Order: sequence, then structure tokens, then C-alpha cells
Amino acid sequence: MALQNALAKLEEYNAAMALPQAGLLGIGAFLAEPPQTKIAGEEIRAYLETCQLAEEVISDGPEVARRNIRLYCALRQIFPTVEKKEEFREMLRETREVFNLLLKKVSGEAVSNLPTSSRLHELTNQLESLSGKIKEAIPRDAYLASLTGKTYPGFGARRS
Amino acid sequence: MPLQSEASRLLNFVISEKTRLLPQIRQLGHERASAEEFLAICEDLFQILQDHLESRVKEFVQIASFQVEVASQALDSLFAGIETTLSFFANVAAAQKEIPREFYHLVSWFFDRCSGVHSLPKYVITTSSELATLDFREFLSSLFISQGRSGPLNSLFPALTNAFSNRPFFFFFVPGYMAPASNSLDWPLIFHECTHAIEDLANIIGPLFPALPRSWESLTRLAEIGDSQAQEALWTHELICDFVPTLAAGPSFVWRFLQGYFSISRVIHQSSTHPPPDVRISRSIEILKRNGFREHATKASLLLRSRLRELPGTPGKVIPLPQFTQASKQYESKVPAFDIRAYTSSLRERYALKQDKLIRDILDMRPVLLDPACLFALVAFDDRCENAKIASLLADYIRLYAIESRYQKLDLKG
Repeated sequence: MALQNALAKLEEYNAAMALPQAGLLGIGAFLAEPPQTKIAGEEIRAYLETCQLAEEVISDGPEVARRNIRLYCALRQIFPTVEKKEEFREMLRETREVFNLLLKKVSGEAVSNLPTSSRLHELTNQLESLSGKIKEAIPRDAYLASLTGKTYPGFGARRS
Repeated sequence: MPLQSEASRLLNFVISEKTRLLPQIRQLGHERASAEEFLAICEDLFQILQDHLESRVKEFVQIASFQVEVASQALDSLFAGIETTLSFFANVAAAQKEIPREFYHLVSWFFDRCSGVHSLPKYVITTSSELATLDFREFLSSLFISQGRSGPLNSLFPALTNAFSNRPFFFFFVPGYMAPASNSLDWPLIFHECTHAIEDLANIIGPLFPALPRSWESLTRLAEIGDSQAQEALWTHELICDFVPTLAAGPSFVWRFLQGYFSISRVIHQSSTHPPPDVRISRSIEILKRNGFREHATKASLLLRSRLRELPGTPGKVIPLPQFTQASKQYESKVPAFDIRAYTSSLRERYALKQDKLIRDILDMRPVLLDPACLFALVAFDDRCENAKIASLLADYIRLYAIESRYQKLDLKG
């Protein structure tokens, strides 16, 4: 059970991390010089899909858990209180609006109210902060260490 | 170029691990036939790393040109996943010296009994703090795949995860104390784990719960948050994994469950994943009775009752699990039952002796050549046999039987 539990926690980490990673890659590829349109499109779509799932999973009860139990468990761990859940939902709503515009743009549609680069940098900071919260809530390296019976060496010590 | 040094560190790590680890596992494969399948997995793993890692790492370095943090994170996760996998393999290899080959003979014998359900799974036995089963595919998926994510980073290393996606390989974990031949009496407990592997491959229970995920771990999480159908599926799994060992191997499983694993605490504090032990044991006792092992069933019932003496209420309360009945029927149609008739006719054919006389032979340390189901049925619930000397002897008998079976399979005479 300890082994399976560690593997489940790693899956929860990966499922949660997919959200900021896709968002950051999407913005990065969009802002790249020259823009990496194909990657931007793929990652923005991935972000929007995960975003929608996360919204459902964080808002609804256990009945939605079957759709992605990993993300369900991860989000409840990262945002344990009603206030934190609400903050997260708000972030999802805001970012989804921006990413929809970016997707239109990379799909070749005309977009009049394209977010400014400073807005995109602000969004990048939000996603990086989310990534940090995930790392804090789900200590991946500790679970990896438990798979091999090693002592967890602590932040930054591994492989240095 | 960003990440170049991180990328080089990963590639150099893999080269050095190949030089260090692979020869050790190759040596093991040469020394022990039981490690051949494990060696094959290791060889393939290193081959994939050699053929595909560099190009995958280059892709991450390219991502770094426009998103260095995510690229570095992905590279770090890839490194961590590979390091953990190799370290895990090194541990399994090191543990092999603790696993007697007779233990492998016993597991292979059990799989052979269940070959009507699925052909012999590939596996390795290793040590841990608990009895557990893990499919290598599940291990890789947990480390390298982001469930539900689309896009190129869905898998950190598609060449690796794809290569093993249709290649089940099972790690059976047993507590270190259980591994030595002097503890062979507890070995039948591994049949429960073997049945998890068989069910994983045959998927008999999955279609009975079409709305649920198949993964045992996902079901566990769902059960923990109150999904009653997931709990029913889990309990069906667990009861099937008690049912098949009792069906195929007779009284040994329930005997060792009672002696080695039963705890009052588990009866009181119910887990969401496993039915309470009294329920599990009571059901196994019913199967023993049905298969004619009345004497063993009576002893098991008495033992269970004595264990539960301090508890109020009736042990082994009935839990309706309709899907269990369906699944057990399917297993029953594919696994030959080891019943009292099979048992007594084996004793008669081999020795023309009664059970008591054969037990005396065992206590006098004379060689007895019988299949493991008969051997364990002979010693089950007999207090005189509850010791390390008899356990070691039993392991010897298992080896003898394996040698004889091999002779017969090769059609050798003499």
C-alpha cells in the first residue's frame, strides 16, 4: 500500500502540474521570436482542456471524481479551504478568457482585444505561483525516494 | 544554450548506470533462471535509453529556447523518473539473494494451475515491508505520464512508456521475513498477489463495473471519497484474490491468513480497500467446505472463533456483492478446483498412505514428493508443523516437485 500510495501521489503531482506547464508553454511559445505557432496552439488547447476539467473537479462533488481522480485528489490537497478553492476558480476563469483569445489568434482569427505582453507576463507569474503551490503541497521527491527506500535528501540536494 | 549542462548530466548518468548496474543484473540472470525475465526487462530498458534518450533530451532543450522553466522542470522530472526506475531495479536485483528459488517454483506452479484464465505472467519476486503487486506499466505511467493531459508533454518519455505499454511485467513484493525457506509456510499468501496479476491480465472483474476505472489505485481513491460502487469493485477484487487461491490450492491460504495476517484491529477498523479479515476468512472457509475439506474448514472456523472471542457480534457477516458471484463463476470455470477428491487421490496414487502416516513421515524428515497444494494441505492447521525446520523441509519438497515436473515436461525417463 505504501508503494501504491507513493505512485498515486506522483500521479496526482503530474496531473496537477499539467495545468501550469501547459499554460506556461502556451504563453512562451506564443511570445517566442519567431512565434512557435504549432506548439502554442497545442499547449493552449491542452491548457483549456485541463482548465475546464479542473473547474469541474474543484466545483463539484465526488460524482465528478471518476473523470480524473488524480486531479480531483490533487486539487483538494493544494486548495484545502473554501477560500483557496474560490481563489483558484477565479484564476481559472481569468486565465481561460485570455487563453481563448490566444487560441483564436494562433488559429488565424482576427482578435481585437489581444492581451498585452505585460498581461501575459502577469499570467506567467500566476502560473509559476500555481506551480510552486503544487510543489509545496505534493512533495514529489519524497514520494520518489520512498519508492526506492532512500532517505529523502531534501530540496536541492538531489543529484547536485 | 540553456539546459545543456542539465541535459549532459542526465545522459552521463545513464551511461554510468549502464556500466555499473547492467553487468550486475546480467550476472544475476546467468546465475538464476528465475531472474531471466527481469534481466530481459532491464536489457530492453537500457536499450531504449541508449536509442531514444538523447533525442528526447534535445526536444526539451529546444523548448528551453522559449520557456526555460518548464523545460528545466520537464528535464528534472525525466531525470528523476529514470533515476528512480534504475534505483528500483537495483534494489530488486539486490533482493534476489533473499528470495529462494523454491519460492519462484511455488509461484510458477500456482500460475500454471491458473493457466486456463491467462498464460503465465512474467514476474519477479522482491522484498518490501508489505505484500503487494505492481505492474511495471503502472510504475512507468505514474512516473512519466500526466493523466488527462494532451500535447507533447503528456508523456515525458514516449519511447519508454510506449515500448512497455503492451508488455505486462509484475513485481511481487513480500515482507523480508517471509522470504527465507524457513518461513515457507507463509508463502501461500503470495497466491493472493498472483491472482491480482491474473485479474489484471484477464480483466474478468473490470467489465462487471463498466462505469469505473480499472486501476486498483484509482478505485482506492474513489472508495476513500465515498464512491460506494468503487468500494464494491475493490472488495470484489479482494475477495476474488482470496477465492482463487482457495479454489486452486486448498486450505493453505486461509491457514496462513489466520496465522500470519489476522488482526482484531483490522476487524474493528474497516478499510475502504479490503473487506474485514473475518469476512474474508469466513468466505474462504465456505469454499473449503464446498470442496470437501471439512476437517480443515472446522479447524479454520475454530481458530477464527478463538481469534474473535473478545469481539461482540457474529463473525463473517454477509456482505452482498452480486458481481463477486459472477466473477467467481467465471474463475471457477477456468481454474481446476483442488478439492478433497483431488487431494486424497494424489496421496493414494503416490504413497498408498493415509494423511496421518504421511505427516509422520514429514515430522521424521523423510522426503515426500507431492504437488504444493497437497503438501500444504498435509501440514495445514497442524501445530506440530508450525516451525522453521518443517518450513525449510517443505521448501525442499517444493524443489523436488519442481524438478520432477521439469523432468516430466521434458519427457525424460529415469
